Amino acid sequence: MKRFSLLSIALLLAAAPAQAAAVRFEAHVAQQNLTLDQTIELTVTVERDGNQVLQSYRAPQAPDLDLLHTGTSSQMQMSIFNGAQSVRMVEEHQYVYRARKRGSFTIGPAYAKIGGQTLSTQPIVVHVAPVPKNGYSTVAPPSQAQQQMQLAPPPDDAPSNQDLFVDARLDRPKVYVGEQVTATWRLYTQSDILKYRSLAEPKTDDFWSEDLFVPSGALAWDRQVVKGQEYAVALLLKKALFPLKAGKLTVTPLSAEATTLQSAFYANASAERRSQALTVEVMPLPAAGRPAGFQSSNVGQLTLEGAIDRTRVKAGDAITWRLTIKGTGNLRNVQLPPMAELDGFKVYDPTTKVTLNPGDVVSGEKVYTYLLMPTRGGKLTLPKVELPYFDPEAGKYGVARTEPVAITVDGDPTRVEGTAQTGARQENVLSQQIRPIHDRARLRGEVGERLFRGKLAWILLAAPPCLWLLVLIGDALRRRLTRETARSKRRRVRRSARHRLRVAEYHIKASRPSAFFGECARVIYEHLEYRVGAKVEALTLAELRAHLESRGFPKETAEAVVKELENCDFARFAPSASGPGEMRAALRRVRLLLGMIEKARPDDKEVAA
Amino acid sequence: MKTRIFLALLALGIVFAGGAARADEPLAAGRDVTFHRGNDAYLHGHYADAVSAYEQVAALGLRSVDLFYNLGNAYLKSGQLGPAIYNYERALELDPGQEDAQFNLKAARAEAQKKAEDRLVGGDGTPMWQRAVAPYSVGTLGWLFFGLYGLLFTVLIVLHFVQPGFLRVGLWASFAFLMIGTGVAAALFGGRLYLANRVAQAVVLPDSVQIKDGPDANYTSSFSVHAGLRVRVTEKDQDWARVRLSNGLEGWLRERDLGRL
Repeated sequence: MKRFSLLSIALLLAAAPAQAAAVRFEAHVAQQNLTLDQTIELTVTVERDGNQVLQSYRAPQAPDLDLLHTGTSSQMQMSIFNGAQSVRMVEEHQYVYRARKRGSFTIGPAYAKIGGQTLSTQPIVVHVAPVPKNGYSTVAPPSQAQQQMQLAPPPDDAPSNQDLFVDARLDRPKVYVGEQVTATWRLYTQSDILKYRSLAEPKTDDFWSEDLFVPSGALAWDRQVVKGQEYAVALLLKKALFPLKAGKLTVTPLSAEATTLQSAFYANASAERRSQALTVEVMPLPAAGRPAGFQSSNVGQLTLEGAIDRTRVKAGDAITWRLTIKGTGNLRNVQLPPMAELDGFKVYDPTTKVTLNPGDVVSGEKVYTYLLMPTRGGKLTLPKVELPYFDPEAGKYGVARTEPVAITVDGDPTRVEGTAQTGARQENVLSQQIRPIHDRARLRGEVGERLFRGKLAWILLAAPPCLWLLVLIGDALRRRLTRETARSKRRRVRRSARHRLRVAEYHIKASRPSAFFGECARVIYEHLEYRVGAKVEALTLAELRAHLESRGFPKETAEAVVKELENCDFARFAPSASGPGEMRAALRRVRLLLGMIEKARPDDKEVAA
Repeated sequence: MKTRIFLALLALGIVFAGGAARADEPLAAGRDVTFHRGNDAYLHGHYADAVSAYEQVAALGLRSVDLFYNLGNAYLKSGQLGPAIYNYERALELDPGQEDAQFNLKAARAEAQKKAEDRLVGGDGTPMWQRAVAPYSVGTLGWLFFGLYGLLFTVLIVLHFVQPGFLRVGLWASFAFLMIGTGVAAALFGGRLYLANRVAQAVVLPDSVQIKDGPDANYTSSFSVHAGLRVRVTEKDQDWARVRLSNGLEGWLRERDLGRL
């Protein structure tokens, strides 16, 4: 029992550092010294194995700062190691703060509980200065990268008559193809700069370019004396250039605009300045001593290391082979020779990862990771790998190489079938599916959108009130048109009389005296009613005569009316006594009588009554 | 005579309308062919081709729920979450009740949150009226308003001819209710139109974008936003746009990184 306990403690002690190493939990700010007008960007990074659970996370506290924004991003890195998949989770929590006042403030630690272990970040102190009156932030001391970039000696050919200029420099005038030459652009000024912006970046078409410094905030200033005059100097841009061909290669000027405060009595003045173009003489790589398999991108001081995760595997299990190129030079572009077919192994395409060190000289490492799958058992050998390169410092070629590695593969020395699948874990990822596309026969736009977002909406808006107004106007017109006036009444009566007389003529032709005299009587009565404004048909002839006379009709007219009506009555009831001649004579008389009735002027008061 | 003139004008109108419709037919047919080509490409797993075909149709100015929805699907399958979310949002602008678009938008947002999540701290500065009208489409509120508006005037016209009595009293009561309803619908419709036409809303397209303090790459980065975040465009300066987040945070980014709704 005691032995078991001791073994457990030993195992725990061994495992604890491993676990601690597997987790990365740290916080950093982009800038610790800043001004009140700048924001503080804090990033908390949590990196852990995929099987470790982030049980809890507590954000850092900064009571003296205003939190403006938070964001979270996560990344999953997968790798196959010994045929098994390993997953690393990297989470970044970003916080943007702004200080309310100047002073030094502490951002407290963030806490996380991962796999039962509580971790915390270091508190961070930021120093906030007031905004300088000249508008640019000079309080920020140069960053670490800037500190490494020492100021170049003052330019001898600087324009002495200018208080503002951009200077461009190369660190060396002559290099080999693929060798680094560093170009630097600086702004010199004797006036305070209110605002600066780049108008045109230098073109480096004939070079492979690596940015060493790009301003990410306010410019950092230093003082320098040029030709006896003191200038404020700021680094604008720094690039490592790797020439792609031999000859005289040119880098075009950098163009920038700076707004300066010339004096308290002058308006702000913007000035555009261009640096001089840069020319570098590029020598071709020497042909003498060039090793076989040399690639022109491999220029620098390079070494090659090989590492394998294990030397004994089962047939079908994968091996990871890492080949690391280290040194100085254009590491992003450095290339290993193509991998030849390896006896007894299936080789998968490598993954590459480049890590560069900060500094003026591009250096770092490039790692090629190969996944190898033994296809048979037995003693197998990974051959040596050679990387021919050209060392520009020494001016000669060299070859970096790894040593051969022996691998013991347990299994049948004859070919193993289906190695690609054997031992590899099958992954069946089931995720939420999205709904399928809409496969309509005809694609239609939205009617509502077309109707209501165009001019048609105005028409639709105006139509109902217009229709309403039209109805009102139409109805008013109809009323006006249907209202009877004296003139319209006369027209109507005359029209009726004409119609009845035509009918009467038809009755003459048809020899219908009764109907003829009926029409004549009706036309006389209608005319009388029109003139006197009242029904008169019910009156006896004697009453009619008296009524007409009382209404101011001439006596002879009243008499003629009565006489003709008597005649009509007689003829209607004794039709055999009336021939066509008699009827035509009666028709003429009726026409004359209608004229007389119209000429009569009855008393209007009576009419109104 | 008047009837004859009216009928002649009506016939002339029908002929012109028919002619205009026929003139539009080849364009519509070409649009449909391209749309089906996109559908075929999608169904065969060629998502980039599908995106290209759908974008061609969209470039013709057609605003269709199906088109934007399919385009969103094609982008999502291509792994471009920002454009996918943008197109689902466009589809839902036209038809907020489109369930498929709602479902896939949720899936796309969940996928985007796996990469990065923008958690906005601070009060939501979106005005109340915008929140009230945003869930409805212009079409829906348009139909509602114009329906009530038409009915209101129909009642007004009928009232003109109806003699005093119970029917007339009933019609006046209906008119009063319709007035209130039309007023509310007009306010909603007007607000939605203003939101659609005047309030420039946009969706962030790339997976991650640095927001600058000014309209130039040389300005300091204030913060970063991620694919699918909805922002309001408040100003333009050449190819830069000033955006405001719902919590009031502002900054500049390139206009090409935004999908305007």
